[in-house]
Parts: sequence; C-alpha cells; structure tokens
Amino acid sequence: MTKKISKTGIFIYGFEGKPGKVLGLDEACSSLGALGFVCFKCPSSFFPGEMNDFEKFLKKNKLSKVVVAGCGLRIKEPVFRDSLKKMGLNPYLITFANLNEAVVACGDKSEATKKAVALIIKAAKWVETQEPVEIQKVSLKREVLVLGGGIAGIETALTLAEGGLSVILVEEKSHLGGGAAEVGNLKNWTRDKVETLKKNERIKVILSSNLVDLRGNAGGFTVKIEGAQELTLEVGAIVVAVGYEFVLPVWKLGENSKSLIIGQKELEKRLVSDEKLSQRICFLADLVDEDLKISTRALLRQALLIKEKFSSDVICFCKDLKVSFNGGELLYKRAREAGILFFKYAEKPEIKFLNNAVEILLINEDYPHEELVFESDLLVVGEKMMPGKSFEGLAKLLSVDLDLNGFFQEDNVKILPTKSSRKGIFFVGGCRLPQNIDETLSEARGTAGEILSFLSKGEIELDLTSAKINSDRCILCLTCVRTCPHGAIIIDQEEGTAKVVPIACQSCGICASECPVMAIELPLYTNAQIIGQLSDVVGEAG
Amino acid sequence: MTKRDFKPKITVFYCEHSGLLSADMAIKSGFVYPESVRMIKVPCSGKIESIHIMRALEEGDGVVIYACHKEACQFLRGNLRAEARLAYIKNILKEISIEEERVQMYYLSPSNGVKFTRTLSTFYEDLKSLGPNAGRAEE
Ligand SMILES: Cc1cc2nc3c(=O)[nH]c(=O)nc-3n(C[C@H](O)[C@H](O)[C@H](O)COP(=O)(O)OP(=O)(O)OC[C@H]3O[C@@H](n4cnc5c(N)ncnc54)[C@H](O)[C@@H]3O)c2cc1C
Ligand code: SF4
Ligand code: SF4
Repeated sequence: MTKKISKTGIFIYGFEGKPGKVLGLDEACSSLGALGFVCFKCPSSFFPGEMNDFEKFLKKNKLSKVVVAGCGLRIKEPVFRDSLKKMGLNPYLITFANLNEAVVACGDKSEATKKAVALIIKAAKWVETQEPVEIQKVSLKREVLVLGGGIAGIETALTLAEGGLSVILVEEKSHLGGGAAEVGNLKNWTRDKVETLKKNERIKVILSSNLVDLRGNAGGFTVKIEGAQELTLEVGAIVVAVGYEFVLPVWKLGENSKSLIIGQKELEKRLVSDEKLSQRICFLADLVDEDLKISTRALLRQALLIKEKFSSDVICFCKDLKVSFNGGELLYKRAREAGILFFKYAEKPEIKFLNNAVEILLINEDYPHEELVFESDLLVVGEKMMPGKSFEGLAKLLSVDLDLNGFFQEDNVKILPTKSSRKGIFFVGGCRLPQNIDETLSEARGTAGEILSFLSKGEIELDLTSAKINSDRCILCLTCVRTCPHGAIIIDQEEGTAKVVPIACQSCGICASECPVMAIELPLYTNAQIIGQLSDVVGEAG
Repeated sequence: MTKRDFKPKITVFYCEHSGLLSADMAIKSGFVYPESVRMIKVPCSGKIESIHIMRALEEGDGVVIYACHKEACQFLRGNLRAEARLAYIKNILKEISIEEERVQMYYLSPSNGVKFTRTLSTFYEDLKSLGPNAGRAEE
C-alpha cells in the first residue's frame, strides 16, 4: 500500500459522542502500527494532561515529525506548536489530520475506520515532505509615526508615549485639535489634550507638513516628511488618523436664499461665537447619510442648546433617530421634554425658499393630515461626511486600500478593526469611519496597545512561514508585487529578483498561485504537498 | 455502472478561514454530507492554482471551492483571484467539452455548517445526474 514512513508519530484523539461510536480507533492504531508508524491514542480532547502525554510520546519514541488526528483541531494548533518549541523541536514538523471525512462515512464502522487510516496516512505524507521552518530575529524600530493631529491622533500618541515609545506626530494644518476643536462642548477638553500632548517629551509634533514618501515594511519603515520641516525618519509603525471632511448637500439656491440654509458645522461655529439666532429653526437630518450616529448626537445637542439659550421654536425632521450612542436615549428624552418637535419623513420633504423664510412641505402617510407645511427662518442640514481630498494619494503612498465610500479600509473587521491590510499600518478615528468621540478614543487606545505589544521589545522572532521566491526562476514580471494584498513583495534590483519581506507577509499564498513561472512557494503549503493530496483515488479508503 | 449506484468523487478545496470551520461546524451539528468527498485545506482560496483543479478533475468527477464572502476575505482579495481563476478554468473545460458545472465555488462565513452541507449535497446530486466525468483518467 504505502511505503513505510519512519520517525513519524501519530497522535490520535479519542472522541466523545457520535464520532466515538463511528470510528474504531483501536483498529486504526493497529493497522497504522502494522505500517510502521508509532501510534498513541489519547482518551479524549478534553483529557487533562494531554499535552504531557504528547510530549512524553514524542520523547519516548524520539520522534521528529508528528501527525495529530482528530476533529476540529484548528484552535489547538498553536498549543501543539508551542509544545514542540518548548521541547526544542521545529514547531512546523506537525500536521493535523482532520477526521471529519471519516466520520461522515458513518454507514459502516469498518469503512469509516479504513477511511480514517487513509486520511492519517495522507497527513503523514504531507508532514514527511515538510521542511523545517527557520526562525529569524528581526529588530524593530521603537518610534511610531502618527498622521493627523485630531483627537484620534492625539489620543493614540499619548497612549503610545505612556507605554514608552517615541512618537512623531505630523499634522497638515498649522494647529492641532482637528474637528473636535471646533465643537462647542468639546473645545476646552480638546485644548487641554493638546496642551498635555505638547508637554510630553516623547512626542515630537511637526505642523504644516505632509508625508511624501514611504519605503520599507513593518518594524522598519523609512518615511519622508516635507513642509515646514523636511526630514527622513525610520519608524516601526504608522498610524493614519486623518479625519474626514464635511460637505454640504448641493441645493439649487438663489443668492438671496443662501443665508437660509446652513450645515451643522457652520451652526456649531455660530453657537460657539454666541451669535443671536433666529426665532424659528428647523433641522433636516438623515438627508445624506442615514447610518451616522454622529450627526444625530450633534443635532440633539445643538437643538437643545438653541432651545435653552434663545427659546426658539425648534423642529427636527428625520428618517430615523439613531440614539444607540452613549447617553443617546436620555438626550432625546431631554429634547422632547424641552419642547422640541420631531417629525418622521419617508420621502425627502419638499423645500421652497421664500423671501425671508424656508417652507418645508412634509408628506407622510402616517400623519392624519395629508400635508404638513412649516415655515422657518433657518434650515440646518447635516453634512455629508466625505473622505478627505488627500486620501487617495495617501492610500497610494501607503499601498493600502480605500473602501467603496473612499474611506480607509480595515483589513478584517472580525479581528482588530483598525488594522490595515499592511502589517504595521493602522487607521484610527474618522478616516476609517465617521464616529463619535468616545468610540474614537477607545479605538485610539486599542490601537496603541496593539502597537506597544508589537514594538516594545525592539525585536521579534519570526517564524519564516512566509512565501519564498526562487530568484533563478523569477523573470521580474511584477505580477506578485501587484497581486500581494499586503504589500509584502519588493524588487531587489541588484539581484534582479522579486523578494518577500517576511515580517510583512501573511502567508496567504496568493502570489504563489499567480506567478506565471511558478517561482514562489509557500513553505507550509508547497505545490508538491497539495498535489500529493490528490494522488490517491478520490473517496476511496487508502 | 448504472446511474443509480454512481457515486461521484468530489474534491473540496476549502479555505482555512471559512470552509474548514464550516465543515467542522457541520460535523459538530451532526449533519451528514456525501462521503466520497476529499477535503484539501488551503490558507486562502487565492492559493488554489489551476493545475490543482485540473489535476483534481483528472482523478474525480467534480471540484468545489469554499471561500470567504466577497467583502470578508481574510486576505482581502484572495477570493476574487479564485473567482477569476475559476472563470478561466470553466473556459478551458468548455473547449475540451467537459461540463463546466463540474467546478463550483461557494462563499461561506466561518461557521455555516448548514450552507456547507447543503451546497455539497446539492453538488453531489447534480454530479449524479451529470454522470461520470469523461475527462477522468482511467483508474
Ligand atoms: C458639527 C460637529 C459636531 C460634532 N459633535 C460631536 C459630539 O457632540 N460628540 C462627539 O462625540 N462627536 C462630535 N463630533 C465628531 C467629532 O468631532 C469627531 O468624531 C472627531 O473630531 C474625529 O476626530 P479625528 O481625529 O478622527 O478627525 P479630525 O478631528 O478630523 O482630525 C484629523 C486631523 O488630521 C489632519 N490631516 C488631514 N489630512 C492629513 C494629512 N494627509 N496629513 C497630516 N494631517 C492630516 C487634519 O488637519 C486634522 O487635524 C462632531 C463633529 C462636528 C463636525
Ligand atoms: S510573479 Fe514570479 S516571476 Fe513575476 S516578479 Fe513575482 S516571482 Fe518574479
Ligand atoms: S503569501 Fe500573501 S502576503 Fe505573502 S507575499 Fe505572497 S501574496 Fe503577499
């Protein structure tokens, strides 16, 4: 059948429940034994001390390669690798045989067992051709570049500095604070934050400047800053916190009606400067973006402020009030109690500009009157939150993606939402998703924590499971450079080959399958290994 | 061989981040999927090469690829590369007169045992009515 494979051990998990009844694991062990494998059957995956058994089994039989067989082993893989590392063995000379397929062949116990044996033999073949994976020490820069001096950038910088890293904060404008510095109730708080930041010795602020060039990869980026100052720096990680822009929806307005309609941001300015406001004020919300909680929060706060300060008549038109932010329900309740009126609309209300007033025509089947007409001295509309003009250029410079709306796109919302597709580059705050301050703050702190655990030691041990390029084969077609989603491939001009940067590579194998001359291999999934799995007749045991 | 006892042989390539976990979930939930199926795990659906699919067709009746949902690929674009490759393969199959339905790709979330079982069983039935793969090498 299969030739004898020496020095490969088989560690089989016993099963509880259905699989236990379906598979004859003792029979499996003895038929594997007959083929020359050393087998050990562990009573169950929940058996205490299983790892001790595993280590003893390897030591006793002087094994260097091992197959672990069972169901649903994926979450256990790191535990086994750690265990091998601890024993001084290479943590990648191990394969996991998934016995699922044997379990489903549950018609007949001996068939199922045969299939389990076949699966284990296949896994043994896989591990037999597995080369040990080298481990490389890589030194990391302990400096971090933060782009953008809004509240997101400031909080990230402060947390990083607190954790002992040096920060270079680059702001495009001539002052810090970003959007929050213009919001009435956040102004003082933001000013205090900026002062604390300026006093911090670990943080260097560079104003009126921009990032113009980026080379290298996580742990060792080389960045070039231009503007008020020109300098080149080396940093271990980059945080993008460049906020977003506000754009007022376009209206066809006559010159005289322009003063009748303003955005929330403009209103905020007027409120801060204590300007007297008109008697009748209407808010029109959810016009451009229904999903944003930030305009709802600002709307409720502004409406209340106007009511309290000027006792104006305040009416709000909205599709849906999003009050899921912290304290949202309460704020809404207060607004209702203060006498602010709320009307729901389904179709966009009709707006007419009269000489000195705006007429708002609301049609909603839910209301007993077919039409409701309101007149107002001032109409406040929520702005659209737009990606900044610099986003596209910046994304290109950083080799990262923008999402469909043009904001910076996180790599995987399921893991750490602020991680970009490139290792060592993070997106925090409004540039990723317009959001409220409290969310921004927790994002900033979480991201700083992630960077601290990555860079603090100044060095990491990398398992070289990254893709490898055979320089003799490479014809420099650049396909891999273009297709790698993680910007992990560079061109080595001197040697005339493409090269993978191990620290940036996430071992997805996309480059390997795209290279036209098959110059790339993924060490844990070589072509030979995958094709080897195909060589048996499908579905037949052994 | 009559159509009734024809058991199509299927190769499944599943991505570690969706298909593999869904398959585990299917077992945990006690679902039964066709037994003449061989599973090969890959780190990302983008790693599956044309040669792997063609080889699998030489030795079986059909190939299924399980990948993460479009906007949720662990590696951003791997599933899109896989999709493009699949289109390419279907073209080749057409040229050599092999039914293109023999290769399918499904998108899954990481724990969708139901969809995993259902798609695989449907595919199995479809292959059954298609009959044995004419392009399969003699055993
Ligand atoms: C009218 C209004 C009312 C609001 N009300 C509230 C509220 O009541 N409660 C609440 O929680 N939130 C509120 N917000 C939201 C809050 O202001 C934002 O969530 C917050 O300011 C976002 O911070 P940020 O740092 O992500 O972005 P920003 O504050 O926009 O900061 C981004 C910074 O990056 C700089 N920058 C841009 N591009 C570059 C570049 N290429 N290089 C270098 N620097 C660059 C910008 O100049 C800016 O200083 C309100 C916002 C507005 C407009
Ligand atoms: S795709 Fe292959 S041949 Fe082309 S540059 Fe990359 S390694 Fe070289
Ligand atoms: S394996 Fe993936 S991350 Fe690594 S170099 Fe290739 S495409 Fe890039």
